[in-house]
Amino acid sequence: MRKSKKMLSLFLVFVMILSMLTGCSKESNESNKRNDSNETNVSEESDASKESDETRQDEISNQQNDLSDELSKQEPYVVKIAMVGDAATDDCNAVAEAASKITEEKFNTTIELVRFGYGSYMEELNLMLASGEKLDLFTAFRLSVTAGANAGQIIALDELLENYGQDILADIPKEDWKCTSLNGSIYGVRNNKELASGYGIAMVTEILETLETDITEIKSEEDLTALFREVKEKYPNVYPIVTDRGTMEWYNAYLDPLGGDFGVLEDCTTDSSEVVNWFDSETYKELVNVRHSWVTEGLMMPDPSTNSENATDLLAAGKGFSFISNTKPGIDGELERQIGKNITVLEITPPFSLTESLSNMWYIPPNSQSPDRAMQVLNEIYSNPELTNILINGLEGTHFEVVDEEKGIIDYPEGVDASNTGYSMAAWAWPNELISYTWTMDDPNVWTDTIAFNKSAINSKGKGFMWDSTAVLSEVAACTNVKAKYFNSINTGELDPEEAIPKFVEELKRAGVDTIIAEKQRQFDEWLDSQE
Amino acid sequence: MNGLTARNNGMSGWEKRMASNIQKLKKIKQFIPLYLMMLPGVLYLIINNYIPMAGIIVAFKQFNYTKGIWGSEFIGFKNFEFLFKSPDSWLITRNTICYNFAFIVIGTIGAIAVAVLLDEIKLPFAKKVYQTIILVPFLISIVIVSYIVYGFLSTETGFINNCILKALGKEPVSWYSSPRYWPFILMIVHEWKWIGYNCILYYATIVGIDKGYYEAAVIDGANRLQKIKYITLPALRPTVIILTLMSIGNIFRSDFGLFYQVPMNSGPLIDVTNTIDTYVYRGLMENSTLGMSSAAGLYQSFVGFVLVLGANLLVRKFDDENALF
Repeated sequence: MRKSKKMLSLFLVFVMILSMLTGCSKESNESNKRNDSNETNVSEESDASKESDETRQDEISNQQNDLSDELSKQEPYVVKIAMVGDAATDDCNAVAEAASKITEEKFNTTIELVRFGYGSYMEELNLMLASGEKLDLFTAFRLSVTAGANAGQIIALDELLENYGQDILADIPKEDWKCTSLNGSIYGVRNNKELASGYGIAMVTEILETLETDITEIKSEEDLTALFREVKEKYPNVYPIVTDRGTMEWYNAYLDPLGGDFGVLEDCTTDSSEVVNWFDSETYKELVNVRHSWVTEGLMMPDPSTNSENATDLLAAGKGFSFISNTKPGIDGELERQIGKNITVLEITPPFSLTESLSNMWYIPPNSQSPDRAMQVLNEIYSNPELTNILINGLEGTHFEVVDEEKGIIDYPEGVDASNTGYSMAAWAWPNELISYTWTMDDPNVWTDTIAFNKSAINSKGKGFMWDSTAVLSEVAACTNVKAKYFNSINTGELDPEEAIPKFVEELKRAGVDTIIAEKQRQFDEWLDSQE
Repeated sequence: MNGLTARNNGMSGWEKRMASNIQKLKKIKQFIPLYLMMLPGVLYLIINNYIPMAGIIVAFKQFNYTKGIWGSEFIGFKNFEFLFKSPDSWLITRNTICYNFAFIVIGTIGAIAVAVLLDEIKLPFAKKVYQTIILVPFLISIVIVSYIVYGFLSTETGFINNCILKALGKEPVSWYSSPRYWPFILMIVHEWKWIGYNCILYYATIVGIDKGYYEAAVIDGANRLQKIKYITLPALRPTVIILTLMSIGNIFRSDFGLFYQVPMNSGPLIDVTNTIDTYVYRGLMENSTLGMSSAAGLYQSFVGFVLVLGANLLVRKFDDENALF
């Protein structure tokens, strides 16, 4: 008996050692292979790169010349990029190869690109980060600076930006850096896209044109009631307003959620710095009272909070007339592509900008063996339209075709569309969509409009504040569960706010919402003081 | 003096042990092929279930990706706080345990009933057809199940409101905002999905019962019900005990899909559909911290472990033969 026990333990040790060894050997094999392929690539490409280097040298000053010369003579390195959105592995490799031609010439760096679908991206990313797998650059998608930095998933970029990110530093204004920094260090490079959001209502144009109500007079959600009444009268089979899979999360109000998790600025355009419970605020009550009146008048679809269909599908099927939408340049086109009908988007709340408006950004994880090289590539993607176009749109001929060279307008090649392309587009998730091509279905001026839109946006008083929930995570978990119970049914007007809100607020209080708000107020005041 | 005798005894004892060991080795030799057959299973268990157990430590740490599992800061039981601090703690624990208890009781009775009925069917083809039909729901993804349920319960277009309640002249029910029906709906959906799978083991046991017993019973003039009562059910007893003990180990875990997807995450139903798993998912979705989710998992496993030990102790007291260990 004892012997067999000994045998077992010996065996265990053996298995463990074996598994450790196999783990190691695989890795070293892979890295060897990588190095090999790099070297062969380099020798093949070096001639070409020398030639084009010479043609460019005239334009660049001597000093920069030295630097770029130095960068192109670095050791070969592979920068691995993780990006969101579906794409076939072969297509990713082909795109990475095309992109590598540019980065290889400049930095002797090749690009490896992996993409994951929206549903699995965070999971795959967490696995990569936890296992220490090689990764040099990744796009933030539901990973905030605070969470990432506190958990050690991302590294500070200040020095790297100073050394290799001059183009990025020159382009991003100072106040934007605050939104991606924590405790004075920069952790993320925000994407250059629309950096604010307005709110309003998206309506089917065809129906709207037959109505008499003057929509230019609409200045709040309450003003919509008359419009909806007319829709109901003229089109009894169409719901005047529908929800999006049971939610109506957007409000026509200047709400700044200050990083989420309860505790908000009720009107972020005023000078008040009081953090309040949104669900206990007057603005919220007024908003949901109006929505409740839509439900009682039969203007809202039945069972709004358990509707399992997308608002866009309901409009497409002719069942619905409108839904509460966000607004930004090109939103009409975006919705028209999804719905297949002409859509009019009326802006009720002009654009304003929050910390969250800048939540699409790029990080460098501690997994990177050479953050310097990652930053060089990031800077190039941000500033080089040629490289950005390849990464955003894929390969010319395979994934897109140039329609108008001068204006930079592209379209799918014949036989390819959004449903069967091997390299799906997610321009907004790349660092700088504003220097890329526009598509035929977009307004050709969409990028210039976006820049104007960003400039016109009102900045929230809380823009730049970074909420750290670590101290109150238990309360947040409890309150989030309470919120799940009431949120959709009150927001969509299904429950009578007079009865439901007091219950909701009472339960939130029991779950510790006041502790969260007090903590947020403390952090917010501290941050405000540090700003002056 | 004492030491000397001890040494002497030790010597002789050692020799004895050697002898018996050699005998044992010979016996083991006989079973080497069996041990080899066991090897892949054991390897799988060790690699997949035992080695990762070291990761339990994450539940007591403020996990930091850069510092790694061992380097992260130790914070004791702080990660567990969120499970007990909430006013909903009692509710989610009650829901989890009550649902699982009901599933175990009703599930066992249902599965045995189906297994007995299957055994009574004599036509082999019909038997295969029924078995397959009962098993199909088990193979359907829970997301699809949730839409099948929606097809029945949708207020506007659902089968129950449109075809049954209307025909009976009753008012349509808004199912997804009426919590009182859901304990039953969940029970039915769970049984519908699992009964085919659960009855397999019982059915296999019934098939394995010596036919001689039944023949003897027939000669003694027993009818069908009596055969079931006096032969089939007592023969199933050990299987029932083992399967129940094993499900008690999971009584603190809930079928996430059943409690989250099937009610379509509907807010008004949360009081009757919130279990430990859905609470953790909702609470940590926005603020993912590895430590807290590990803590929840460890808590569930630990309670399950204690309950299995306790249940086994009870079984050993009343029916020593059938205890697991």
